[in-house]
Formats: sequence, C-alpha cells, structure tokens
Amino acid sequence: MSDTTQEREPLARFIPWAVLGVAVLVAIPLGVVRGAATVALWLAFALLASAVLLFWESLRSLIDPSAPVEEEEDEASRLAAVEARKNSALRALKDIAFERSIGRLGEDDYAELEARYRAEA
Amino acid sequence: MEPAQFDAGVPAFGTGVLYTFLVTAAGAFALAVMAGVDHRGAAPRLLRAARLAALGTCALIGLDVLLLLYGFLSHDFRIRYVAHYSDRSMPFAYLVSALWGGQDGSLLWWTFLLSLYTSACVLWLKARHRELAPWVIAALMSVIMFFGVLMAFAANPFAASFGVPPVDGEGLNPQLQNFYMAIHPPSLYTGFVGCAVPFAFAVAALISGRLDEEWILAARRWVLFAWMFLSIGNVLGMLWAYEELGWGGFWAWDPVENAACLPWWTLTAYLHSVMTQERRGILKVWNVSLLLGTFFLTIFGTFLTRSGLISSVHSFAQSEIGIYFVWYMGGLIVASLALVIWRLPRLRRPVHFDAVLSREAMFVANNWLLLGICVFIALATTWPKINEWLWDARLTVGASFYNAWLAPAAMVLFALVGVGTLTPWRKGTPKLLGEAFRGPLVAAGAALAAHVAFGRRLGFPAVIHIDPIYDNVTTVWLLGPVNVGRTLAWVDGHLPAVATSLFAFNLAALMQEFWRGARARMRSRAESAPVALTRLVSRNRRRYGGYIVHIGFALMMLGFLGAAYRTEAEATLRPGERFSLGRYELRYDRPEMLRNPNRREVHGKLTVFRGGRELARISPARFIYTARQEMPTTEVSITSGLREDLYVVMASIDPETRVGHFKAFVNPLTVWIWIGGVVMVLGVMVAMWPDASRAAEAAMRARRAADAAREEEAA
Repeated sequence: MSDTTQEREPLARFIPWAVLGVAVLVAIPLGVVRGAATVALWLAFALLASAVLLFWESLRSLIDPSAPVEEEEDEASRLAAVEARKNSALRALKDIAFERSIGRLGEDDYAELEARYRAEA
Repeated sequence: MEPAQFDAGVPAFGTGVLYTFLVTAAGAFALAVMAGVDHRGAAPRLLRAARLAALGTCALIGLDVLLLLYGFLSHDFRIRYVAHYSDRSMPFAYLVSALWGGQDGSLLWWTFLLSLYTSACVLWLKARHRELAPWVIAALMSVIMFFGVLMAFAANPFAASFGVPPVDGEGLNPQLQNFYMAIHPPSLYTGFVGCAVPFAFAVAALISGRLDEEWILAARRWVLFAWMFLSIGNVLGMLWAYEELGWGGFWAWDPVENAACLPWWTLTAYLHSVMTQERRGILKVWNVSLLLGTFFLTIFGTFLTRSGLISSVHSFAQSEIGIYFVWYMGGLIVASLALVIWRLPRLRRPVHFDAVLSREAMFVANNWLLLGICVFIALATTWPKINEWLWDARLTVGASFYNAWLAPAAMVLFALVGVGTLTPWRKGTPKLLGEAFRGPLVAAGAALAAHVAFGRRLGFPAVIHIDPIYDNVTTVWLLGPVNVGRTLAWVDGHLPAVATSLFAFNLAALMQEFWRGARARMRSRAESAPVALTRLVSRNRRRYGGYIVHIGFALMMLGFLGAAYRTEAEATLRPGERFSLGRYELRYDRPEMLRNPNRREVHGKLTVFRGGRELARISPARFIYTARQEMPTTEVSITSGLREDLYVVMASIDPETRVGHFKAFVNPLTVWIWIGGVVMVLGVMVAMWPDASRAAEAAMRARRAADAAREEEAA
C-alpha cells in the first residue's frame, strides 16, 4: 500500500462519523423550526447521499486499481481469529480448573481435559 | 400539515427506491459470491466492493423507511398504506408505530431491521473472518432480496390510493394504540430478524468449509442478542395481551403468539447444545441444523402472521403474499438440507456420553424436549388448516389443549434445568453428585411439604381439580386401555405441587452454584464474600450470566404456576352497589365520560376494599376511537402486587340507567412473570457483555504480530 493511502486512511475512517454528526446536528434545529416531517425528509436526503457515495466507492474498488483493498488487515484479522480460538481454549482451561476447585470435576477427568485444552491453546 | 409541492412524487419515489435496493442487493450478492469463489487474487477487491454495495443497499432501505415515515408525519394520504393505517388525530408516537402496524409497512420494517443488522455485521466483519465474510454478506443479501421481491411485487407500502386521495385516513387499529404495542413488535422483530445473522454464519461455514469453532465464536454474541430480543418481544407481547385484550390472561395460545415463540425454543436449544460442541467437539450437525431451523421458523412465523392462513386477533389482513413465502421456505429447506448433506462427512463425529448424569447428556435431553415442544406447538397451530385440507373438516385447537399437554412437558424441562445445573461435564462420582444434589433436594422436599401443609390455607392448594379435555378410552401400546383425558387431568392437577418443589430445587441449585464459586474464591484468594461474588460473576460472565437467566426462568415459571389459581367473578351493578372476589370487595361509585381529539373514554369508577380497608380507586374503561368507532377497546384496571393482581374489566355501562357490567379476576403471582423476564434480560446482558480490556489486548497483540511479520518480510 502506498504512503499516501496510509496517510489518508486515518482521516478516511472518521468520514462516516463526521457525516453522521453533521446530519444529526442539522436535524436538531430543523426539527425545532420545521417539525418532525422535515427532519425525516432531511435524514432521507442524508441517507440518499450516503448510498450514492457508497455505491461510487464500491464501483471504484472494481475499476480503479489505486482504490484501497485493506490487504494489511488480512494478517491481523487472521491472527485475531487464531487469538480468539486460543482464548477460547484458555477459557475452557479456566473453566475446568474452576469446576475442579468447587468439587465438580474429578482428578482423572481434569487431567484428561487439561491436556486436550493445553494442546489446543 | 399538508403535503408540500416539492414532495409530489413520494409514492413513486418510494417505489423507485424499493426497486433500486432490490437491484443493488442482487449486485452486492453477486459481488460477495464472486469474492467467495475467487482464487486468483481479486477476492479482497471484490469483497470490498460487495461490502460497500451491501452498506449502500442498507442506506437505500433506510431511505425508504424515512420516506414512509415522512408520508405518515405529513399525512400524505396519496399513499394507500398511510391512508389505511393513520388519521390526522393520531399523536406522533402512534404515527411512528403505524410504520409497522400493517402488512406492507411491517415487511418494510422487517427489511429495515435486517439492513441495520447487515450494516452492523458488515462493519464488524471488516477486519475479521475473511473466509466467512463473503458468504455471510451473500446470505444476508439473499434474505434482503426476498423481502425486496415481496414488497416490489405483492406488498408495496408505497402503492398509491385509488382515485382521489381521502381527506383523512382510516386510523390505526385501536388495539394497536397502546404503549406496549409501540414497543412489542420492534422488539420481537429485532429478535426474529436477528436470527438471520447466525443463519448467515452457519451458511458461510457450510459453504466455505470452515467448520471448526471459528463460526461459532463469531456468531455467539449475535445469537445471544437475537435470543434476548426474542425473549423481550414475547414477554412484551404477553404484557400487551394482558393489558389490552381484557380476557384476564396473558397467553392464549393464539396462532400468532405461537408463531412468535417458535424460534425461541430452537434458539434456546442451540444456546445449550453449542456448549457441548465447544467442550467436546460433538453435535456439529445438530448445532448447524438448529440455526438453519431457527431462521426457517422466523420466516414460517412471518408467513403464518401475514398470509392470512390462520385467523387470529393479531394477524394482518389476508393477502396474496403467502405463495411467495411458500416458495422461499421450500427453497430454504432444499438449500439447507443440501448444504448439510454436502458437509456431513466433515461434520459427523461419533457421539459418546460417559454417563447419563452428565451435563452434555442433560443438554441433549433438554434439546430434544425443547425441539419436541416446538414441533408440538407448530403442529397444533397448523393442525386446523391441515385438517381442513385433508378431511375438509373444521377443528379448533383451544388453549386448554396446549395447557393440558405442555404443562407436564414444561415441568420436565424445569427439572432438567435444575439437574443440568448440578451435573458436571463427562461424569461425576457418586460422592460429588451426592454433595451437589443434597441441598437442592432438601429444599425441594421442604417446599413440597410446606405446600401440602399450608397451601390450601393460603389459597394455593398443592393439588387442584382440572376438567379432562377428552373423555374417551384409548388403547395405549404396552399400557392397555387408558382414559387419556382423565389421566392427563390427574397429572395436571398435581403439577402445582411439582412446580413448587422444582422451583425450590432450581433456586437452591443456582444459589448453591453462586455460593460454591464464591467460597472457592474466598478460600483461594482470601477475598471477602461480596468481593468474591462480584469477581466470580465478572470473571465468568458467560457461566453466571447463564445462571442469572435460569433464575429469571424459574421466576417466570412461578408466575405461570399462578395461572392455575386464577379466580373470576362478574357483576351488574348500580352506582353504590358492591361485589366481592376472593379477599377483595369492589364498590361501583359512578360512571365518567372523557373526550380528547382522538377518542371518547367511558370510565367506570370503582373503589377496592381489602379486609374492610380501602385499598385503591380504579377506573376500568372503554375507549371509542374517532376513526374506528366500531372497534371500542377495553382498558383494564390492574392493581398489582407480589402475591396477586386484581384485574378489573368494564364490559359496558348503560348511559341512561348508569348500570355497569363488570368482570374481575384475581391472578396470583402474575407479576413474577415480568420480574423473571427482567432478570432473564439482565442475565443475557451479563453473558454477552464484552470484556473490553481482554479484547483490546488481543487486538493489540494481533496487530503487533502482523506488523512484526510485515517488517520481517520487508527485511
């Protein structure tokens, strides 16, 4: 990914929130002055504009080779998934240790399950 | 406010947006499928395009909802739906709730909620589950496409009024102009629609072949969220029926009520059986089938409510949309079966239980029971129609039939909840099991003895008389001739005693779990009891959140038990006359007439006495709405307490003689249903509350590892 895209991305992330903020900020005085029906119409317009932008970006992903594809997220995403599975095995280990501590799991079963979850983790 | 000049084309514009989002959903679906099957490196680009197109589609659906809302708020009666479900006198809140008050609008609302879920899921998936994401998006888009087709071709909420638009609308059904009705359908829809996301994950796992725990972990919070709203929606539905229908009860086994609860049973089964898959790696076919089945039941429920197939006080008007649902449900069954059969060799694992008294065996038993109850309700609901088709005979399945058969099944479920809480995974030694069961069994025995000894004196006898629902003798295999009706009535009559002891058993089992966990922490970490209990719950949210849900369930069962002791009385009174029911005496004071722009209100003013003392002044009423004078509503008066509710209905008042006709019910323990519902929701929130610090830590570690890998590659 190019440096320019990397610099642009943090800003780009805030654009949807900024648009949402502006839409709500405009809606409040509009509601006070013109009533709820006008607010509905204004928010409808904001959604229409968002839809147009989203479809444009979608199209750009297909036809513009310089459009971002967020490739760098792939590795983090994969590792996060692995991390989640590891956490799940660690939680299971904690669970069986807890069950043993309150006398709900025998020693033999605990040893067998512990070996399995440790291997998974 | 009159429609302004510039919005002359709202009906046409709304319809245009409807067609547009149908096309864009199909585009997003195609892009997602291409991203899923692409192996030549274009997948990230296609996936981004699909994600953005899906979000754009959701924005268009939101736009359509806002256009319809604008139609209601500006009283644009050129839109037939607006003219049919609103009028100029309706307050703002009911104008908003009219969005989902009728057939066409409720389908748009369904689609809108699905678009909210889809947006949230697509945004959440941005950096996660790359292999599953395209298929999740494709599955969600396919559901949106179905509802788009339905509205575009059979139930367009923007269809224009015939001829000249009316000056005023017909108004919302008065029974829907109720606070609980304003919040019950959105909650129930949120639960119903929420089942589409776990369904999408199950489909994605089956198509992509990633059948390990990844999709289960990914779908977990979505499942809990949908389950929570299904529960809230059903409880609010009971509250609405209790407050608005005026027959004294909260659940009449009406076809639409039944349709609303069907997915709840299968999703509850999934929530339990998925733990067995996580712990033991078994029941994969079962779990994936439960999620596919749950989604099917949400569509089936929507079909029952909207097709006009079965008449109900809750159902929408008859329409032509039924055939679309039939085709879609047929497609769903074929596609789901094909996917499961295709992946069967990879899903199937030999199931072996080490002991009958193990948690996994209890989960399997409760799953069969939950599924059995679900199938029973579905069959009984549709049986009158099946009977009509097959034998051309009319048949009604009443509430007494459901109550007679399902009350014993509910008791077995209640028992399994308690036993399942106490049994360990795999197997327990007799010593461990003895220690676990001793306390709850003693509590159950004590509760049973107390109920038998003091119940009648307190107005809650341990055994009650129930009239049999049949009186014919049937030959039952191995048992010989049995009078099924009388046997069932005998069993049902003894259930209050069973329910009391099971209530005590469950509460004692759950309290014991909290106590044993806290005690283990107090011993090992030298913590005080409150600190140990707080940390125990906060560090094991899933387990103890589940236990809190079970406490809520037990409280609800206590409330349902109260229905067995319901008493009622009717009286026709002149002002100043009295009548009594149970511990209460009611004096009819006077009638009162009130008017507001929306309706006329006829109140019967009564004073309630208990033990000779004035307890409350109540005012049951009939509301006659301006727009629908032929449909007066019953506004009941409920004096609620922990022991019982006094529920008073005013049937009529003669304006000339001022003679009033009243009906009163004493509903024991009903308030515990609502308390139990709140506790259940709290429990789910505890279970699904994210562990912020742990999630942030995991994300940071993953990001660091990714950075390190990239740097290494660059070097």
